[in-house]
Amino acid sequence: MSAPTLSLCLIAWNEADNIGRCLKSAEAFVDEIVVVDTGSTDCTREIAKAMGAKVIQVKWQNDFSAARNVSLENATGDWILFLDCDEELDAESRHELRKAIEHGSYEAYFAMVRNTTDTNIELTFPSIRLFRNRKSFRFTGKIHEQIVNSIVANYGLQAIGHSSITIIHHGYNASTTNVAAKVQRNLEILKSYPEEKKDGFYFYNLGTEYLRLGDKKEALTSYLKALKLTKPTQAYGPILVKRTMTTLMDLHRYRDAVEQLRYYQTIFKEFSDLLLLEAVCHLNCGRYSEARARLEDYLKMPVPPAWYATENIFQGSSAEDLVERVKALALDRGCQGISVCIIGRDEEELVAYCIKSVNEIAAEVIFVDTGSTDRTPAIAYQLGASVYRFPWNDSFSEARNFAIDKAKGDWILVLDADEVLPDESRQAIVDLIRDPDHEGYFLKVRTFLDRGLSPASCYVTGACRLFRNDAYRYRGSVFGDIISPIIDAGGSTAYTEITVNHIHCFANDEYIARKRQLKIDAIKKQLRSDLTKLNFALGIEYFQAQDFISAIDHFESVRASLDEAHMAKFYYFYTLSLMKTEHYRRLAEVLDEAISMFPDYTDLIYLQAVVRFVLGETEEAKLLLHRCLEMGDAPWEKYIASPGTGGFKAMCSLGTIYSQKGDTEKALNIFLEAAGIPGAFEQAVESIVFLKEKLPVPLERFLEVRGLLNSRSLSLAAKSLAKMGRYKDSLNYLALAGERAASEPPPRDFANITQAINMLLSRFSREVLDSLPKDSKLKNRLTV
Amino acid sequence: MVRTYFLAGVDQVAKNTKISLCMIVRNEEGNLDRCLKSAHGCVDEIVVVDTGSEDATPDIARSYGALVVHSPWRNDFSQARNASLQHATGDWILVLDADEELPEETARNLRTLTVTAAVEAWTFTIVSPLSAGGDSLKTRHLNLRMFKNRSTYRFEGRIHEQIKPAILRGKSSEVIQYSRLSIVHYGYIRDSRGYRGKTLRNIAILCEVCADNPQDSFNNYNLGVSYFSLGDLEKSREHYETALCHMDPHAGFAAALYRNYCLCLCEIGDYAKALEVADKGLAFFPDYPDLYFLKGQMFWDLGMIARAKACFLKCTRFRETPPGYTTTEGVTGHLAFENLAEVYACEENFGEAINWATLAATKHPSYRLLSRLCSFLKNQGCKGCDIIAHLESQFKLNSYLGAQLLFDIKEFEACVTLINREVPPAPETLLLKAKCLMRLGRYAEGLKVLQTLPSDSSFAEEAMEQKCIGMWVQNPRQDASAVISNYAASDSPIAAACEIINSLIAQRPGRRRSNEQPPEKQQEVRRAALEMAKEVLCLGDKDLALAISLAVSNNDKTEAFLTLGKYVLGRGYSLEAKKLLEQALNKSEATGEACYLLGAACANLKLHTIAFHYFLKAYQQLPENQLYAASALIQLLRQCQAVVLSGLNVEENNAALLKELLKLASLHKKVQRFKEEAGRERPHP
Repeated sequence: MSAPTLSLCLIAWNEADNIGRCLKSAEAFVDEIVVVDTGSTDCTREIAKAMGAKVIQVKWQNDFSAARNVSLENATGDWILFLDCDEELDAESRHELRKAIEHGSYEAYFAMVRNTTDTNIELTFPSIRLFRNRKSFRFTGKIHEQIVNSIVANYGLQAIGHSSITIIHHGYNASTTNVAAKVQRNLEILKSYPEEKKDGFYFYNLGTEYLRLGDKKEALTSYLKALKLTKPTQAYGPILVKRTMTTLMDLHRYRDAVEQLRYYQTIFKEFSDLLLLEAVCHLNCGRYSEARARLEDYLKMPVPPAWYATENIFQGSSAEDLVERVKALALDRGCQGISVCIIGRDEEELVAYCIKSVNEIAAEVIFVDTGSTDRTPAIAYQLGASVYRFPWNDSFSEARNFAIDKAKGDWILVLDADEVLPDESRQAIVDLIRDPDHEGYFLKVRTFLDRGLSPASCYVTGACRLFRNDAYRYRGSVFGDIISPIIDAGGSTAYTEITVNHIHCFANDEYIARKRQLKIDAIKKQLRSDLTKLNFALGIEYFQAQDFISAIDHFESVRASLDEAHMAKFYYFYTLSLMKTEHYRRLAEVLDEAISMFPDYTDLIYLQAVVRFVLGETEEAKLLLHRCLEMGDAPWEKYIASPGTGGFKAMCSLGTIYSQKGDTEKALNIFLEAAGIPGAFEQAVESIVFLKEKLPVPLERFLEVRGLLNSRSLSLAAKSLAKMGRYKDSLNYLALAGERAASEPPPRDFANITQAINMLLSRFSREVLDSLPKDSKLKNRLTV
Repeated sequence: MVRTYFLAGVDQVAKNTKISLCMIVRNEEGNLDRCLKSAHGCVDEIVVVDTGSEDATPDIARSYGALVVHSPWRNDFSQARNASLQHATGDWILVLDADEELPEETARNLRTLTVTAAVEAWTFTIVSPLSAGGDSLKTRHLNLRMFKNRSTYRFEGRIHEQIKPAILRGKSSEVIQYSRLSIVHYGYIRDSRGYRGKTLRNIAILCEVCADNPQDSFNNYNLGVSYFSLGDLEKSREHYETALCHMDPHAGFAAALYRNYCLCLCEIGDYAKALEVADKGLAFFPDYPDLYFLKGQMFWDLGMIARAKACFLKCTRFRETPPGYTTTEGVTGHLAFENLAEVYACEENFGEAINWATLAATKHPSYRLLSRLCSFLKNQGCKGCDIIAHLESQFKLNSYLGAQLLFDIKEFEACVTLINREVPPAPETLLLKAKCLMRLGRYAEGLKVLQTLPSDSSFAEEAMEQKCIGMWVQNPRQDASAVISNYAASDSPIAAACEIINSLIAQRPGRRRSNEQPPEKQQEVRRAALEMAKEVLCLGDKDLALAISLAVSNNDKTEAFLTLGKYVLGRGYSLEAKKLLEQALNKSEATGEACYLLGAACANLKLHTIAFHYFLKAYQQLPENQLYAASALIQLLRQCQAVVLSGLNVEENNAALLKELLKLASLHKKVQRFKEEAGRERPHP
């Protein structure tokens, strides 16, 4: 008996980019190549013919099976291998082809199809690609055509064997394929199906097309329909489950995903990827210990059978990578007793950060929603919080107390939805309450004023946010007080260095304005009876809204009647408002008075120095700045404090004074020292650039010698020079910054470069616009 | 396969099948003759509906035996067209416009189309050159132009009238077939007579139609096309956007809408949106090479060379644009090849640049392409003789063309060798040889060659000029007055200029004083003198060049540098211009113009940092000058673009950088367009 022959069958349409690679990978292993061309207008047919294929032209009828079956009709081999043009035979396993057809007693074989995409995601699944050339074996389905039905109908499932032949699929690699065009074509075919033909496999394919289109919601809808119509024994079952789960995760529906994953883990016991996915859900929710436990289970599992579509990699990371990432964040959780209480409303932009930052240490997260109209409660729920609704009655205290009522833990941690717990604070809290000395603890709340989270633009206040879950309830309505209830019950409180970051600046401006109005309304309602408190609170809100004139009006109206406990806070906001409105003389007087009351409040002394400098009293300013540096930052336990007033801010101001007086060397030394302090870099570099001409060596050399030469400092220099109108110099530094950034290791910071470009362009364009005559065409072009 | 029908059917062509040519015309005396001349031989009857000509149009029609029917114009194209059908007695109707012409092949094969029984109508490829002259870009699109004469087949739509819907009513689309024949259409030549007027008339009708149905996709599409052709990009964009919003992706004009809208957005400089439109279009029409080509051009404008390359390579994978698409001729061929050559040259891969430029020039030869090819060859390190060997192995070149190419890239030795091979040499070749010899410093030989030129040839004046130059630049300088007085037409500006220059050398006044001549003549003489100064400068004689410039610049030394610099810059000699202008700046206070010109010279030489420096200086001298401001801004933008691109080189998909790049490129395009328009209005040297 002669050796069996093998025919390679393909269908093609405009595959000039791909077909050569495909045929080349297989030509030596097959006896015949049959290509059915459905109307290419590129060189597909020429390439196929040149490689010895039998090319048959047919008209495209929107039916993949019809075209494929034409290729089968024309095949003369004993066996058929079918591939797509965007696939190739893996070089390592293709010799298995011969083995299979010469020795096998099966009717058909599964091969493994490995998908590659440009996002490094690899997905491998089994597919019947090799079968005997029999008249009864024909493809069915207008799209996602399958041969399996005809084989099973004639010979049963047991007639199909497994092989280690691997096929590499390049089809959804956006850099080489027009994915959108493919999806559009597939969707049109799928939509032409009659209702009765829409089975589980149909909805699975429909979902996958939507996924490729980027429409995850539609994809999920289709997948869920598919799950209802699919039996676990069906070949595509596991991959369907997995796709559904990853889609849920992409939509941030982690809680639903975890529930379903646990269910399917009981059905597909060997499908290890489901454990990996669960771990990723926990990781994305900030439950690091939980994630670590699942990952450890995953790594212990045996390699699953071939018919599961296993990846071993999720979003570019392997399980080992993930373990590494989780290790640093998972805490030794000796303490299970923390209930985190969060109240919030319309916080969809920030609430996820908040809950993720506490999940690791929280026994429970209680989220009290006071009337959101956006996705806030849904997000909180999916991240694992218990969500309650509480109608807003203009009282923060009542809403917080409602949350505390639900808490079952030994300790309460109170956060607002726009606050997050930094990584290092989590361990600190766990350590603290393991062996507590007090009933309540003050945390250090840092309010950031810009998205760079730069210490130069934040202020610090102390707030009692962590206390034992006893009978303590907030008193007072607007800014509720929890300290007096603790003290009254005989408990004590203490200050800690544990920080909470208040990051409302990350929300958009409209959102911030809306929030502020809500708060002002609440204050007005609640403090009607106490005019002094009302006006003081309103003054602070106006200050936050940068309406300094209204703020000053309100502050001055309460100045005489405010009790002493609020005076330090009063001076902080009042003096800054005067500064912003340039009332220097008045400010100088107010500061003298304030400093005599609070001599250890560095912020006030720093401000006095700035005022003196503005008023031309340079020597006095110098003395005050030196005093600031001696004192260091103000104690935050006592005051609202701006970091740097006793440090880098005072240094930079001092440097500016020296440079103005012509003492460049002294000034430079101060700036260089400041540049080493976190948060002061930008200001320091700008100051140095300002002194550029007075430097002993060129600026870049100067920076290099001092170890400050990097893309960040160069783009800051470009930005400063642009601000000074020195466009040519700015452009030169920009070019240097660009070169530098490209040679730095990732993650690279291009934000400074684009900022510098934008500064340069906006300055120059503005200058051009100002200088051009009114009727200038160029002016019109630029302003449109 | 449609073609097989013809071959099989040719013998059976029934002589009694009649074809009627139906036209509507008004004031088409400039076009109609060309049209009827091409068509009258292959049709049996000509029906011309005249909607109110005031010129010789009806007479021309009658001279071809046409039946001329007068019908008043009612702002309705279909009505007029249907009037012409009313009078046709043939079995088939052919529809042409007066500004169209049947190519010989079409005329020859037209009758074979009447044989196929199952076909009711035929489409043709309409080829439209975009400018006069053979090297023009041409677009192609498909249009239904021949159909059976049935009373139910009537045009619909007041403008951009269609007969297809009537034919397809109740029939399958198979009854309309592509004829594989073409019709040439001269109506897209922008500077052609009446182009603007016709477009404005169409816009008026379209606006009327749109008033009734403002969301009609097809009308908005046509308005977009009309406004684009008038250069009103913003209006064009508005209508395209409306058209796209309400379009059925299966509509016949869908693909063309994506292409034309994308083109409009590219012109505006909205690259982000243009890329989006191109990709959307490709989702529906993945075999439409024009969209890949447009993407390639955009990436090129953005400076993303690798992506541009991929797009143009994609274009070359198509054999040709499928006939149903509106296309620019050559997007799958010579245009893509040429752009690939530039892309590779930009990557300094001159080997590939040479391959692609050679392919492009083979398909579509032009002097411009050949000279690009030569510069690539030179960059690749080829010697003059290798360059000529490459050209000769690929192309049939006459020796003048080859010599001129070599002269342009300063391969003078090779140029002389090439010319020496020609026997007998033509006078223009000899002139070029003389120039080469002089550039090589071999003045005596050059002058000897010039002596052999017959004095009655049309090159006599240029020969005289070259002779003078050859004598002046020698050491010691020689008086050329004999040469000048020997030249017969001694009142030409060149002769006058020669006389002025010679008087500088001979240290005595010439026979005539140029300032006695009328001012426009003085200008010509001045230009001729500067041209000679440029030649002299190329021969390395800077002193004489400056002396000439001084003589025509009111004897002001600074101005002499500036004048000559400006002139040679205008003639494309940037390096020489840069040196002269630098000296002009050294000699005196910087003027805005000198700085601007120096900036322009540096920009030509790709010295972008220095160019920005001088443009900025020019702008600071004269802040109200738009041109200076625009030039400075363009340099600034291109350098910012370069910085962003260097970032994208290491992080290809960095979204923030991509966004920044698109923003910069968009502004760049806007300012660039301003500068180009300003340049057209008031030509700058």
